Amino acid sequence: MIEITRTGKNPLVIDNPVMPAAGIFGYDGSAYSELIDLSKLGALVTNPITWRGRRVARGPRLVSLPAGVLVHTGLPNPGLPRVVEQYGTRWKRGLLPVIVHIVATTPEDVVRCADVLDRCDGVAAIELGLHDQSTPADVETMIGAVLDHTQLALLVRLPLYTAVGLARAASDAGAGALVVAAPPRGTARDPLTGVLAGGRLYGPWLKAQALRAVGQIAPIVEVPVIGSGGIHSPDDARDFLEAGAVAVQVDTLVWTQPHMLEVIARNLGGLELTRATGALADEWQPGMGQTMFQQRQNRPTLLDDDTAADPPDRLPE
Amino acid sequence: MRETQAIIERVRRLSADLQQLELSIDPALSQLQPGQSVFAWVLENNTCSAYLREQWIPIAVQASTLVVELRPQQVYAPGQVVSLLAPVGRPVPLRAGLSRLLLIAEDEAPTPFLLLARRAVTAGIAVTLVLGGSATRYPLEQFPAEVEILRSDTEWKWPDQVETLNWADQVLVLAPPQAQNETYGSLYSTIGQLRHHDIPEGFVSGLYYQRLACGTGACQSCQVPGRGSDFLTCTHGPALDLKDIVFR
Repeated sequence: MIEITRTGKNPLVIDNPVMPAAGIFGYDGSAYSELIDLSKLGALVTNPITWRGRRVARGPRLVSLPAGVLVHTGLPNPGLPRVVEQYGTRWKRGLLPVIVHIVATTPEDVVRCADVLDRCDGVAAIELGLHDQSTPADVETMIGAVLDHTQLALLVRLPLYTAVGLARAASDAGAGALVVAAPPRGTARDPLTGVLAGGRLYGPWLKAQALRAVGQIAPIVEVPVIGSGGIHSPDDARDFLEAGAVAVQVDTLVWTQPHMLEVIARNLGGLELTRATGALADEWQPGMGQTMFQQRQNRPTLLDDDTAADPPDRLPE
Repeated sequence: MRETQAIIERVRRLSADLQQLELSIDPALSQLQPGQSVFAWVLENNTCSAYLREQWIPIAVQASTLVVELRPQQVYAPGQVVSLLAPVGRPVPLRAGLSRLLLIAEDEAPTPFLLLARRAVTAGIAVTLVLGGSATRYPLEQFPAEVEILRSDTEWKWPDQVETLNWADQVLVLAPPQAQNETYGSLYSTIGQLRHHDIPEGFVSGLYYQRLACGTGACQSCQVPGRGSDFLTCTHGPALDLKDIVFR
């Protein structure tokens, strides 16, 4: 069992440190239930949901890139009340803890979402997706708004390029865990229409940047960090754990090779465990990162240095 | 939906714009119906392959063989192994008692109509195919000889247009992804005028083939706005009744 949010009233405990990222898996996992053994996953993270329904973006939504893809869906969703009406029962009866991803649009809408989700039995936690332009003050406002209206554990997904700057603000504001990070935005020319399209970027290349961010953030915050970005193999996922993450979220790999999500989950879930060097069996648990391991052994870690913002030595620049 | 592996047995260059791949497939895929497709990812490709899976449209399905038709943007070779997610989409719904089928392709290769036309002709259904724009360059020997071929001009007109639209029991239209909204909206409006806005359910459908990210309905990127509820082309399509679509 892995506690992936800070200890509190309703910590989120999962069996396996692997889960799909928001926007990848639908609302209840049924889209992949014939392709993946869902019971092997740690949790299910829903597609991003807003209080009011949103329709799909106009113009190009997908642009293939040499090593990835640009995605701009406009976050289509029927709105939280309709999603809960449609999927609430399935969440309750499902095999996995459900983490509902809500988009930090306005504090008012976020509060409405938190109110509804707090009363929904099938929801294990909330993941709050921050806007790319969020400031530390925005982060504090949004997190405060959610926590005032729910007892559920709150995960906060940080934008990649501002993750390090926002991490401490999110942690101090009460986030139960940090998801590092949301994919960055980019622009590419759509070959079909010939126009420039903006959207989020995915692909294996993203891992190096996300891994660096995890390595920078994990030592300076006192909440668990969940790594996300560019994971395409079990070794990729293990790199995130080594950098200090307690769990990982897998993104577009699920679209291209759905079975790989299960492969990674099985690998990290106990069938192919590797132990930190020197650890005894009772000192180690699946998902334990190097930072936690060192703490258990009372070794000095970067957590002891409040000002540390650089990546730990073991992550080469 | 299931994931299976296939092997490319033969590659045939049909024209400068088209190639056909013959694949050895898992027999379970022989149940594919017109409208359904496979979501492919080449496992052994020495060329620069796309990151996302590609939607391949079958033009012939037998017990253990599948033939798909593609644009020659990627180079494939016999022996390559392909991962296939299938089926993607639903079969094209045909109206009860259908005897006259009108197919219209505008600026897009009528590949998605091939399997449908062959099966319709075999079932004794009269089929007329209207080609417009770049669709006129398509090698027509692919279609059965029983299919009547008409050519439209650049203004979306063809000989005996009114008669043809009144003759048909069902109309299926195909346009490129970037023009679907405009083309289908325009055609639906034209048919509405001809039929005094009395268009029965299922009479005219648009084929929505778009670039897909997941192919399973999870990502919602292929959403098409509808009246009442929205549609996903990968799970509800590719054929969507234009009566239910919001053209914006």
